[in-house]
Amino acid sequence: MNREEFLEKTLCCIRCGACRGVTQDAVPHTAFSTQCPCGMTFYGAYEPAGLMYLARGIAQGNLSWNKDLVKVLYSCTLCGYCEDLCQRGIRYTPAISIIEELRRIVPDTLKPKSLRKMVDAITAPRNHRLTVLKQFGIEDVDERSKTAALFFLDNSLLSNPVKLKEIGYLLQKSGKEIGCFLSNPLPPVSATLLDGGHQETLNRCITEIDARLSQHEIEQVVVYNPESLSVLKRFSQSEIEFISITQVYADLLKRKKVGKVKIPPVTYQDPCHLGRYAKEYVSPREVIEALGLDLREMWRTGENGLCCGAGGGVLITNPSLAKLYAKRRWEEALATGAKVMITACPYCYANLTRAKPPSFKVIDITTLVAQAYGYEEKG
Amino acid sequence: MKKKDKCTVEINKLVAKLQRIVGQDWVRRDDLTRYYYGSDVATYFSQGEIYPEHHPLLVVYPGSVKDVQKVVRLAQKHDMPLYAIGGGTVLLIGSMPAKPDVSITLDFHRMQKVEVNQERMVIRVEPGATGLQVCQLIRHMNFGYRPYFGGSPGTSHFVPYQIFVGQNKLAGYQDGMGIHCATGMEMVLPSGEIMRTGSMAQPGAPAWPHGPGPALTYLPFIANAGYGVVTAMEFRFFSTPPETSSLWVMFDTVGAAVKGIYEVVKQEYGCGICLMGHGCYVHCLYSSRHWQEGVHFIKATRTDSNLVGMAFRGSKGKVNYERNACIKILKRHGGVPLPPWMVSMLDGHETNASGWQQNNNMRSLGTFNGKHDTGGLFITSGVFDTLETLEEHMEQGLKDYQEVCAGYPEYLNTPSPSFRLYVNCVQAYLTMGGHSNAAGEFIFMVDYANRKQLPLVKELSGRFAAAMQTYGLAPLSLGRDRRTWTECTAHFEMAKLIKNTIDPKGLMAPGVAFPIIIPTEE
Repeated sequence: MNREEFLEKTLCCIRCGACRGVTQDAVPHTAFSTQCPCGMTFYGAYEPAGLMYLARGIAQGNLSWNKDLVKVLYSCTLCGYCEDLCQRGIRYTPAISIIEELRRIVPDTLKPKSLRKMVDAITAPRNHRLTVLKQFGIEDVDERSKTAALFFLDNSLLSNPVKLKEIGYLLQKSGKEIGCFLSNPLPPVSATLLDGGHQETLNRCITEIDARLSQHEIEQVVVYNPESLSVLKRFSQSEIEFISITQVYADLLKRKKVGKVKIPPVTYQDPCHLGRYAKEYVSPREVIEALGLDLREMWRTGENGLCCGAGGGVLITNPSLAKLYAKRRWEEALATGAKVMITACPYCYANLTRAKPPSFKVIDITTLVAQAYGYEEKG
Repeated sequence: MKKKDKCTVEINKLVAKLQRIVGQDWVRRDDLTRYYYGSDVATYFSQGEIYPEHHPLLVVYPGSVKDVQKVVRLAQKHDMPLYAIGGGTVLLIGSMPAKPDVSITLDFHRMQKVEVNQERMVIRVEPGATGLQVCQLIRHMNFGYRPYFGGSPGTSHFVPYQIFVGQNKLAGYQDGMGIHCATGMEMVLPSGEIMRTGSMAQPGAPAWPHGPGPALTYLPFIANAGYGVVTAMEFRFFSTPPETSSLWVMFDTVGAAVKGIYEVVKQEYGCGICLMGHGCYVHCLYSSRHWQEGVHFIKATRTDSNLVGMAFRGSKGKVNYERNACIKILKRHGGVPLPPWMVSMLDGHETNASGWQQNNNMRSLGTFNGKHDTGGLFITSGVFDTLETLEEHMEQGLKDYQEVCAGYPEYLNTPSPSFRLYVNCVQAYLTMGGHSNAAGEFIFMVDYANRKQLPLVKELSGRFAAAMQTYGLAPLSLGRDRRTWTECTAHFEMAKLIKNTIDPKGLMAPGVAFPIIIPTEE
């Protein structure tokens, strides 16, 4: 994006206030919401419109980069709700792409080192434990000429055999013919690349992914990590269908019924990258319903769901702030009377667990479904 | 240097005092915060020419009316000018300091309570709430909440500036903002006292269907926050009609269309009647949710046709009767009613007729350019005594528009146009008490995404301003002496008298509606 394009985008925001919302405690109503985690915590320049105005200042050359500005920028979780609300208001400001562009053009000296390390970890070759998937009948796509469906391995899975086994078990149960790049994994892209301002790296990775998917005539890609799902959906140039693994679970539960899972009432955290970015609100709830769970929705749920606070790299760059954001979410979860928080995102899982009240349990939806089908981790 | 040090010390003391009032976290003076509150949409739309960027000295976030009272008293004591911003931006520039680094800006983000009182059919809102949320809530309850130009029967037509600051006209969209619905308000005067008007004058006061009365609503509006800080307002809402319908009729000439409308108006049929003249791009005359359909349709009429649209609402019998009657009348004047399938493309009209009569909100200005639109500019408007005057003005306006545009071929030839002339003429305000003595209104708006087009906008503005001088305007219920509310000398003098009485130091929003009397540094 050149400077003029960037300026034009920033000028879209006229601070109409649509992104601000109304406090739930004033009007406990699902149509209302105060959604921006950093805006509702710090107000003023930390609100979405504040960021847009600061971006405008940068684009016009009226503001120069400094630590204060960077602090504001990296307090944003990139949950995307401001942009969503903006479209419900008077005009559309592409807030997400503006913030992503800001993160791209931040001088390197001011970029958080922790994010840089994370990005390096994504792009560097590494050891992995993917062969565990073979025991569940998942074959290496590179060893076959054609595979209709592929399971996408993101950074959170490459070295996580526990989660890989749960997923492998469920994919096998589903009877879905699915392959995976096991010996030479695809670049494990996720939104972290955008959080860190590495669009160019992301683009390179996506190009490689597109080429390899096309080479194997893959039609559908199943993705576990919502952050990966959202970037694949947003940036892939291919015609391939990218779906959340929760859809596979929901289909499986429709075909192969399981007994009612006996756990206390649950609530569900919509991951921003699964819901707001990938528009997948239904399948996780279908899963919960099929498991016979007592779902108690929080005030801000579905399209109005509140970010857990981990997004935008905040969990990496400022863990205490991410925890503070998560506490807001827990206030609502507690009000539902539920005792279990279900989520479908590894980052939501991690951040919510860090801030969880003692009485609550956080469960990843994959673990829940795997256990419902009798999966037990051995050794 | 000494002076600067002294000044810093005094500011620190002031900050400490303010922090004792509102809490430590709710007073900001860092550069980024001051930058954020130093400009507004108008700064950029006008390229800083009219409303330059001025940063406040401090930003305060009051949490209650008591906080506001205390801050106002403190500001008085220290001769600090006060500005305020509520849910969002301010069309009337009220939140922007008129001078740099001397004022306090109140941000009402912490005060955004919204309460519905179904018994009195009012909604009470604090200034930090946005109109969008108010609209959502009322709509959810299946009530009508008449937005800005929609009007409601007999209400007074202006409400205080805090509609724009606090409630915010812009933030009302999807549907626009209901300044005609305001029934009462609570205002902290410069002395720190609280004044309550209309339905808020006393607990349980009725929300009169005809508004709180012209004086108490009108005066603060013209004051543009110059009288005090509004801390709450009440708006009336309305039940939605059981049946709605719309009618679109094509005419060859503007004259024939205007004559047809005139007869419809005399019969008091329909509502939201408008004529879209030829040679113009018009979009989203009605529901902002249906703008796209409107665009496709209206674009087809841009060469040499004139389209009259209107809505009907009420019982099924009333709607059918009025619709059929209007078809007969308009046919008599050469009109050709459009078939139902074409009308259905504009079904936003029904939505508006059921209580959402927004027709010229800023949303309709944007969005043409997909994701890159940057602005819209209200060029001019006029309310006229007679249809003849209006017709004359409209014809001239269209000619001006076409002449000016001819000099900007890139404007006319943009394959995916990013800006439009927005013309909405001959609105017959059958339901608008505020304009009951006017024949119609005419608005030109240009949506421009590319700031390179500012010269075109400027030229158009100049043409229209000249036309205004030539034709004059009808009064906005202020008498029949051809004055607008901003240009009425006598009225403005009266407003200044009140201003001087209640705010002798001129500290409430100086430079917004009243001249700046900011003490200069020694």
